[in-house]
Amino acid sequence: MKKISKAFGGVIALRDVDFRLFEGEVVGLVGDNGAGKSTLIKILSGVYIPDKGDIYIGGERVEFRSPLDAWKYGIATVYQELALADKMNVVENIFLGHELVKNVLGLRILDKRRMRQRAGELLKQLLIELKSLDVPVSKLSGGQRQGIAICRALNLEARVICMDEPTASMAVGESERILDFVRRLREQGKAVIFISHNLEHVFRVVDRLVVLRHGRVVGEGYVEDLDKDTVVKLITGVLENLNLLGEEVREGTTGDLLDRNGSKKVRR
Amino acid sequence: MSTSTTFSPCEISRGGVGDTPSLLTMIRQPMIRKLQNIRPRSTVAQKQVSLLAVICLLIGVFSVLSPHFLTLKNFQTILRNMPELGLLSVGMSIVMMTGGIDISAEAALGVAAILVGKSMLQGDPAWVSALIGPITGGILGTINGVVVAYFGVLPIIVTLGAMYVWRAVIFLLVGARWLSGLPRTFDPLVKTFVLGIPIPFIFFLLITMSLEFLFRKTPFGWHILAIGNSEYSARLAGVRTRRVTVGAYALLGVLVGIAAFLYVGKHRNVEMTVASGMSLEAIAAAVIGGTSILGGEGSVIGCVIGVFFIRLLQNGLVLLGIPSIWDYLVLGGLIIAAILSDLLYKRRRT
Ligand SMILES: Nc1ncnc2c1ncn2[C@@H]1O[C@H](COP(=O)(O)OP(=O)(O)OP(=O)(O)O)[C@@H](O)[C@H]1O
Ligand SMILES: [Mg+2]
Repeated sequence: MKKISKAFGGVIALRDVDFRLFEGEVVGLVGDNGAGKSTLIKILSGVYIPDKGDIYIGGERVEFRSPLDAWKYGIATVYQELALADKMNVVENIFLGHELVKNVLGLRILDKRRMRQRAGELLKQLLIELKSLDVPVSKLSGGQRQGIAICRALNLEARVICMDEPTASMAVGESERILDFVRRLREQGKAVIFISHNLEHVFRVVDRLVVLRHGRVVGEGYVEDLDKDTVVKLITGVLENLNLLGEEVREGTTGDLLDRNGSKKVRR
Repeated sequence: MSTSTTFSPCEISRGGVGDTPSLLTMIRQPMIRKLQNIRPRSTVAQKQVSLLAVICLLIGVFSVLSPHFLTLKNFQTILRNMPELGLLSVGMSIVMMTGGIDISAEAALGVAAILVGKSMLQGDPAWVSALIGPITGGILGTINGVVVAYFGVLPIIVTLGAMYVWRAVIFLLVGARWLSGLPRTFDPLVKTFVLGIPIPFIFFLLITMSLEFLFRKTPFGWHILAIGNSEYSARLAGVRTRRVTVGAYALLGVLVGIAAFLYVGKHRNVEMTVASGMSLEAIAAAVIGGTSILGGEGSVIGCVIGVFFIRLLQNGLVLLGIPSIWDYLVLGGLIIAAILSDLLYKRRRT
């Protein structure tokens, strides 16, 4: 993403933000409330259209006009607000918009049995325990609802997964599992954007960190080169700017979002 | 649904139908429990079971009060009066499940009816006249849907405006006159009974059943409900919300058009005020049948029961010789009661 800007009325949410993501890499996106994190990933997911700036995938310039467009390019998102349909049940929520269907006489008929089965598998993968798949999701706990939102994104088998505070309302055990899971996604070669206010979680799971403040990128670097103190200073504005990225990464990628060559440059 | 939040039937009686005796409530209790176990989406089912109980009660009361009520002929009359309202109500329930509403449906029915009538008077082939109904309705519905979905105007505002526009169109089409003396082209279709059941009613049931199928078994139904839950969330989940919304209004339009065709075939005249008040009746039937006024949940098939209930009530009031002005009072009260019980029920549950 190159030189992305977005304003809501008079509020400038993002100014000239450059953001890169490589395969097999987990990037943490941190910043104060209102720093523009959610806005940035919503632009990447096609929810908002940027006022300025472009998105490139593997060198190709793309334009997303809806979340469905972004999904076609392999981008799936766990939104901060979860985007669940409260009165609908667990299975319906996981598959909403991407239902499994079977073709009966040219009609696309919901394959409820297969969806149930797959929903069970997904929930099991994340070790989320639910008494029933038939309850409306409004009846579930905050953590369970978050789990369902994550299952929905996983079901899309995307190359890029954006997670906006996926562990915000989860208990210790549950968030551990999510962190484990993010690591597994990285092993599968997926790219993950991980947004969280919990810096401890962030440091344990990400490869690289991007700090936003007032809609600008004020800091970037690999976790090995950063410590929590520095990041907090960046978030709060005590430290104004810090860029610890090697020139090779910044120059070599010319703003491509996903790039096989680029991923080699990611240090582990 | 967990037992702790189980909706006790007494609540319906209090919110919905004021004078249900407690004996009935006691009989209903186990029925509702049983239904809950079978069907997970029981909110709607519960409402329907209660409604069926009320219908039985009404039938009982009317039978006692009028000797003409419990006759085959009278029930045939009720069935004959159902299809037009039924089609409107089914379409309305789908629109309402998206969180929308269409006040203009009755006026669209008028426009379509007049165009169908004019076509018959011109001596067009029967199939042309028949098709003009759904096509007109579909176009008018699509216009509403596009304004709602793409311009983001509140459905109630859009369709209230549309109602006045369509009414004006009716006036432009016929002036202050009637269309009358239409040929009997469609008599064999609309006036015949099969096994004692009027063909239009069978037609209505078939359409409703196909829509119920569409609604339960294809992604369309999920998308409609998701939009009614939260349009924004549905969009984030990947639903093409605008397209689906337009689809819902267009579908209602087509059903309105079919209703117009049945109406013209049956009455063979169209006056300017045709179908006035029918939108509200359709909304009432949908709500009574289990569709939430807030959107996000409901039932297509429930409309059949809702419409039957309304027509039964009106029929009974006529047989009892109650002046038709009371009709409005009862219907108005019913709508308010149905909506209130829906809202009260929600508040209690959350
Ligand atoms: N849909 C919107 N309409 C108007 N303003 C918005 C909208 N979305 C975001 N904003 C504004 O843009 C700025 C950035 O918001 P954003 O949600 O991206 O912050 P964030 O970093 O995700 O914060 P948080 O940590 O609280 O989730 C804020 O000032 C917010 O008020
Ligand atoms: Mg946010």
